[in-house]
Amino acid sequence: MRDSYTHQLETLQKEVQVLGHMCTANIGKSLHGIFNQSEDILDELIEDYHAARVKQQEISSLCMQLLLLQQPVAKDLRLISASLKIASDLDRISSHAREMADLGKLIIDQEVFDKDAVQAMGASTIKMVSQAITAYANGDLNLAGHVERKDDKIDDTYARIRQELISRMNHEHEDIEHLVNQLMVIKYLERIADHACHIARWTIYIATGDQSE
Amino acid sequence: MTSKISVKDMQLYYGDFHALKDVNLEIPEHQITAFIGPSGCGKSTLLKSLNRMNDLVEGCRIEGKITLDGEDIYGDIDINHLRKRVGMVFQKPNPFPMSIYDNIAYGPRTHGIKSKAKLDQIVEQSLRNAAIWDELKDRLNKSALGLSGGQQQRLCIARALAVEPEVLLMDEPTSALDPISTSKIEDLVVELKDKYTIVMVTHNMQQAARVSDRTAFFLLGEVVEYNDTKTLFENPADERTERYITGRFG
Repeated sequence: MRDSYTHQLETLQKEVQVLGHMCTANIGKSLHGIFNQSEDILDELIEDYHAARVKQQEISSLCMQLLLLQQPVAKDLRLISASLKIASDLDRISSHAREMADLGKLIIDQEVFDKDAVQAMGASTIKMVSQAITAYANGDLNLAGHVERKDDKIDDTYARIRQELISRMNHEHEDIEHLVNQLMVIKYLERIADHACHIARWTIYIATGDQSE
Repeated sequence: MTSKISVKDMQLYYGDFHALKDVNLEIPEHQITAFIGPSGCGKSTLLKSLNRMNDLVEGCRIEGKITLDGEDIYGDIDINHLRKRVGMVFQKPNPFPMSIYDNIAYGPRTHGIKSKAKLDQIVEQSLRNAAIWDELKDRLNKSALGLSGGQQQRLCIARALAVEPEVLLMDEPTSALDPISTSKIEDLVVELKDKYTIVMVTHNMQQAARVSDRTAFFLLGEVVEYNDTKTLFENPADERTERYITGRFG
């Protein structure tokens, strides 16, 4: 029964996954551009960001249409409302990737502080987003819980690098702007990890109706 | 939450057919309780048991207990008095073929009220309570059969209110009405719960969600789930409830 409606719900979930993949690609491209100091790659992100923004708006529109026309209840309502929120989180992730790219252009031709740690942080963050979307797609509450737990490690890495950057700023009186830009890059990575956590929590909400943190 | 009607371990049979099984429900006072479920699940049967309308069905037999304010309604009780306390409104508006005034006054007259002044007061108050006084006050001696469907149904509600019931049973009260009439009656029902306890059978799940405080989901003669309406529609405990309210089966 309600085949058309069921099909629309499946479409919604697939579209959220597509947006998720677009976002992880954007984060990866942004970091690749920063570490390989490629302004061309960073410029490509502007197009990619717009494409992600269009996808997010399509998802929002589909959610509103379902809410208006189908009067969903119970798990269907939770799925649609959570998908709306997740699309918003993914839009923020995509924005942060673009903002990192803009910062990347400012730190071109300059050394990336603690490059290995930042690369590892970037890889972990991308994996968190990817796993959160997989958890959403499969209703995998264990994976969603795993994503939430990984956030602590990202927060710790961010806090450590931040402290080291501040320490350098206090001791190096030139080129503080460069260090501030790098601090902002890792801050965006930390924020992206937070958004991945939100996606994991919404996935748990879809299955259980529980919104507590 | 004070319980107005209590149903305990109730079984109902139509001949050999076991129509209601192990029903246990507490109907709270001054709230709207909705019964939902697919056709033939027993919700109207239970509704009609609450004022013994099923006594009129040959072969109908009940076990268990139904109490109104703690009093067994299947015990030693005046059935007419029970039906005064527990009024009923049906799916199809059924005004009597008489004037609007006489439709409302019929119940009070049957219960011994003869004073014109008193009947005038009851007619006006009942029509006001049903939010239809202004529409009908200038045509009280006109036939009720000349009213629109929505007006007839509100007249039937007024008629039920005229004998000052405590409980109002409503069996799909808006299923035969247009959306505007439906909306007026839903608004009325929400106002009425301040003074009355209301139990409503409905096929319209959005209506149950909009209007009721508690909802019971029936399936094959059993109450599958009974909970706060918000909880039942947001996060039902039973998968059968989830599948029904999301339209996966009907």
